[in-house]
Amino acid sequence: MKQIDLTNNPKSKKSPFKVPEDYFENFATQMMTQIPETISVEKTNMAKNVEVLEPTITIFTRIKPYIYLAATICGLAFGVKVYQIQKQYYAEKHQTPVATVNEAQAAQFVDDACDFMMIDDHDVYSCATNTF
Amino acid sequence: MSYLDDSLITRQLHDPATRRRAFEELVKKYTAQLYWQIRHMVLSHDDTNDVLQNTFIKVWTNLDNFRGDSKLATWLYRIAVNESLTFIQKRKDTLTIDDTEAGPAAELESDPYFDGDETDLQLQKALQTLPEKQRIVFNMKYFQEMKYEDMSEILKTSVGSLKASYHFAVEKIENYFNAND
Repeated sequence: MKQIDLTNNPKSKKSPFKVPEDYFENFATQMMTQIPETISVEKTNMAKNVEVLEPTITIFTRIKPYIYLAATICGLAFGVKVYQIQKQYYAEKHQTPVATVNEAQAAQFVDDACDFMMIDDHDVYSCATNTF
Repeated sequence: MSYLDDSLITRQLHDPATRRRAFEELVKKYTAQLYWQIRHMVLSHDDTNDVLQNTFIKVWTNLDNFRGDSKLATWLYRIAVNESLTFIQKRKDTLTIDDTEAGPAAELESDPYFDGDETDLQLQKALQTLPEKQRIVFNMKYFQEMKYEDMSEILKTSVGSLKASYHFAVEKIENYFNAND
């Protein structure tokens, strides 16, 4: 067995393999039979062979937009009403008791006035019963 | 036979209207190169034919993933190498205890598509004793006379590592010949 020169001898580099006749010439044709058609061709073929079915329009389909509109309006009205009720409730809950404050202030005012005018309880009774 | 320029093929591959025709051009242009790359790894013509078809099918299904970051040839070689390694691994998994160390190389003697002499046969047996990556480097450098820079792009390994790998491969093969002389 001859020694092989792995560095210099070009003859050593001859490949020991061979291929069947016309293998490379026929390979591309054989290969392309395994490759699917492109998307554009597929869609064209589909358009030719398949009937396009139009959707059936029912009564419900026709009135659906109006139903959606009515539901929207009802929803808005309901929301506004709820908002108004809440606002009123909040206003009543936090309303200032004006009468109570005025009564207390008025009583204090009378006491201060009596002290200023040096009026005692006897004078007040006499005034109230018109026996002054 | 004149082939289309790689950049033109790449542009046409990304256009659905011209994709199929461009792919056929690509197959015609690169069949021989990829065939020999695969053949030196898997040895048998029938196995090479299968791996080569798988390679081109993988190329077709991944055309949209090729953005031109690397050369078209580099990308094709990379897929071919990976498919070859996958095939070799599957074949290795099916080997039985009775199979010889040389594996597929032992079947070359009876292979009608093996045209080598005794030295060539021993070389192929010696190559089968190398790790796969080292074998790939040796085949690319020795049989296909590829430049280290091109190999570096395909295998994503530095030129220095490739040179070292080839050097060790040559050493092991020479030792094999000396041991079996």
